[in-house]
Amino acid sequence: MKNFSVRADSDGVAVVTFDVPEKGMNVISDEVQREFDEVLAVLRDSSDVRGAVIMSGKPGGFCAGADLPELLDNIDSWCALDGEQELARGIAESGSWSRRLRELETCGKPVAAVIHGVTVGGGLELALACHYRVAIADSKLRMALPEVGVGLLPGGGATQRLPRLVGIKTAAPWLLDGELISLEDAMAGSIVHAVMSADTALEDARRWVLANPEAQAPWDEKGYRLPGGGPHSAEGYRHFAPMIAARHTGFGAEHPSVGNILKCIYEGSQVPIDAGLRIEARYFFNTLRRPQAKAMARTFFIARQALNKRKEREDLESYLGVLQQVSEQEQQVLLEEGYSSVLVANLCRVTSVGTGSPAAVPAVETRGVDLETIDLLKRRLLYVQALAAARCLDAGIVVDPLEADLGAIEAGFPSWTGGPLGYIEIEGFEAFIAQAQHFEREHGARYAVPPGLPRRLESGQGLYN
Amino acid sequence: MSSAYIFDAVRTPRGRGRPNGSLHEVTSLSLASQVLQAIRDRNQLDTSLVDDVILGCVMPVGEQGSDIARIAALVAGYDQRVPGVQINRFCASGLEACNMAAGKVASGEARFVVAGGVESMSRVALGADGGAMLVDPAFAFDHYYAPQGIGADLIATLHGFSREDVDSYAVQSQQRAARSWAEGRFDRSIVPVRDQAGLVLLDRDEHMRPQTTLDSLANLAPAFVGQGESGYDQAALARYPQAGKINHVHHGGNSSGVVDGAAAVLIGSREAGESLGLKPRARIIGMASIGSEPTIMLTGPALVTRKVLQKLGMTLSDIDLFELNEAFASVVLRYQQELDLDSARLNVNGGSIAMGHPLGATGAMILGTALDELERSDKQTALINLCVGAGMGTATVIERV
Repeated sequence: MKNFSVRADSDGVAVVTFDVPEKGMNVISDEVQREFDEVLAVLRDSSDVRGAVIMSGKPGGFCAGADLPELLDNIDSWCALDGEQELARGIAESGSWSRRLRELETCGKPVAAVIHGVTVGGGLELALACHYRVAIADSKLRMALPEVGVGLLPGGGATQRLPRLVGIKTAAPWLLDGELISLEDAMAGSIVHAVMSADTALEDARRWVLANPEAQAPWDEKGYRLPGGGPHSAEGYRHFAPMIAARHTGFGAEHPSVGNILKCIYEGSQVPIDAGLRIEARYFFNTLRRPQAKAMARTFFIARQALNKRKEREDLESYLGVLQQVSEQEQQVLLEEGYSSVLVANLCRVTSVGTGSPAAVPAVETRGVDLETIDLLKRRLLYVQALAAARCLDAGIVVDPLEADLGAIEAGFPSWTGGPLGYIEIEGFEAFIAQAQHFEREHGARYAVPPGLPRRLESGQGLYN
Repeated sequence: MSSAYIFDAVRTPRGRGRPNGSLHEVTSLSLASQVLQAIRDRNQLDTSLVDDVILGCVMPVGEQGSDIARIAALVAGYDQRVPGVQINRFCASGLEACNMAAGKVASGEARFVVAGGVESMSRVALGADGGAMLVDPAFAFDHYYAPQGIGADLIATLHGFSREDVDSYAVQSQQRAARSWAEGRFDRSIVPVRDQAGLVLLDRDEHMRPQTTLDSLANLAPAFVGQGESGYDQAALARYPQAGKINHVHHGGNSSGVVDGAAAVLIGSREAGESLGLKPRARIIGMASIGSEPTIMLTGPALVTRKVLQKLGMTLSDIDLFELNEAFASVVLRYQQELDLDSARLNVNGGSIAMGHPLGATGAMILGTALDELERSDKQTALINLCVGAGMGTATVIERV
């Protein structure tokens, strides 16, 4: 094994050290997953192994979660799947980490984790699948589930184990906002059982393993009840129901994973853990196959990481100026068409670069609006900006498409799109061009498709190459 | 297809839906069986000719669970061959029960059907049945669920009804209900609720506050501010960005009252009526239900009114009386505004704001109220309808014969 070393001591405690070679931080790649099966086999099959302690060989932390570039490639292949057999395979593949963690949790022997530093995403989920967690004091412990921020959901069991540990009310913001879990909250909720110094943590974990040969997860114990009750309890109606509504912040149901995380919590908390994990796997797969997820992951992970490494970032001032200008122009047109300034300002808030509210115009009779109209107006605002971004790319006003996306989002373009170019991909290249041509006929030349777009479509170059 | 006729309609008075209400000590089953008995006894109905009992009930759990319609029919002493079915179309359940009854009669399935509804809100609380609507994100998140009070306030916001507008409507409801009681306009339908000794527990709607004025209502704090702040304003505004900010204008005084009550309507074919020497009071000439946008939830009435009139080839001017359940003042004001209705034709005897809204029963109650009023004022046609949870509307059109 390249990524794990297993050393059993004389007491029969296997110390598993997670240490991905040639990387500064542990990430969970396909190879790591395959080798994890070997770890599981040792744990399960060696009669002289009485339990295990999992720790990291990296000074910076325990594990940073999925190998995202690899995951993005996998997402591409999972998106292409079709037909019952292929889809079943896709769910099995995308849910493999979760399944392995459940195997760890139910291997019949006690497993402890020693965590420190970065312990996020799939890494935190690994720790949550252990029966006991020791944190190393003063190790800059960072526990979080940041998946939602890159358009994904925690697919390694966190939507099931966290609510079962601390209750839905406490767990939901961690799952839905990716907030850091403070050590205090973690201790209170048995997310961390003990805090030890660097030189005593391993020994503490070993002792715990030896002292708890029958260890199992609380939710596998007879008579387990969800803390605070499920969604169909008085507590659930009081807290979970309005919390769902309060998630309509800025965006609606467009975000690729917020709704699915809520569904994992809701559905999973009403069934036994194994069923809950299968439900999570289905929603994980569903999320992965949404174009918004891919667009967000590209922008908030790939782009952000690439740009952080870059010494100089592009000067985006003129580019963002163009986006803001076309959006403001469109807002003015909407006002002139008779839509109320309240409506236009609110649509602008959820669609547009810049924060300015549209200039006041003399009172025009407000047109009646229905949901379809509102949806169309939102798209008009998104389209003028996306078209402007494509024009800027053609003209060299912005050079790097990743910078164009990330910069626009930082300036107020909605995050669920992954950026104005990401939005073109979400709509579908051809569908976007056809819709823009339709808008051009209806509303004028500002919707004209820049020649670069069809060229990129025909040549197969895409937007990001 | 033959026609369905209404032979009679009864209702209990509505008791305050709280532990101090006069009907709190009466079970839902007893309320339901008392109206079933009353409609039988008043019409000397041979219940072996009743082919179904359909009762609306919106919280069919606890003592209202397990098909209260069948249980109430048995307890009322109906022939044991009479089946029963409990139905739920939220606030329109009682009217939907009548529409289904009319359908069964018109299709020839049934000779007589007793339709109506029951709800003891003091004994089985609103929300007791739970449901996916509130907490399953597949609906609540993806479809921007907000509770009805938010929808009512959103209607007021979008259509410019001020706090004074909705309060004025509430005052009018109280005044109209008080006058109707004073003039005995409800006498024909009211069946007092009795105890085991036959003593009267309640013979009058006790939710009413005839002394209500604009000033007295002005002191009431809006009821749905907290609910809005808990997250539902955000969901509603995400759906209705044109609203800007929700103006919370509704409170207990301009919303339908929480009460206990039951109602029953005897519906049958002309032949069935003739066989018992019963004279039909009205014919059910049209029925419809619709779905509407669920977040605002309460805009179904105008849609269902247009739908049923279009089906009948009628126009608004062909209807003499409109009865729209006063779920919230803004619902009625919006209906009146959208259809440009004269207030003199709409809810002329007040409604649920004054007298209360026993969820499962109300539809059947206001059908009876409209029928009584047609006879009293010697008019011909009435359109009865209600706004319904999750964005629906249900309507019935009746014509005197």
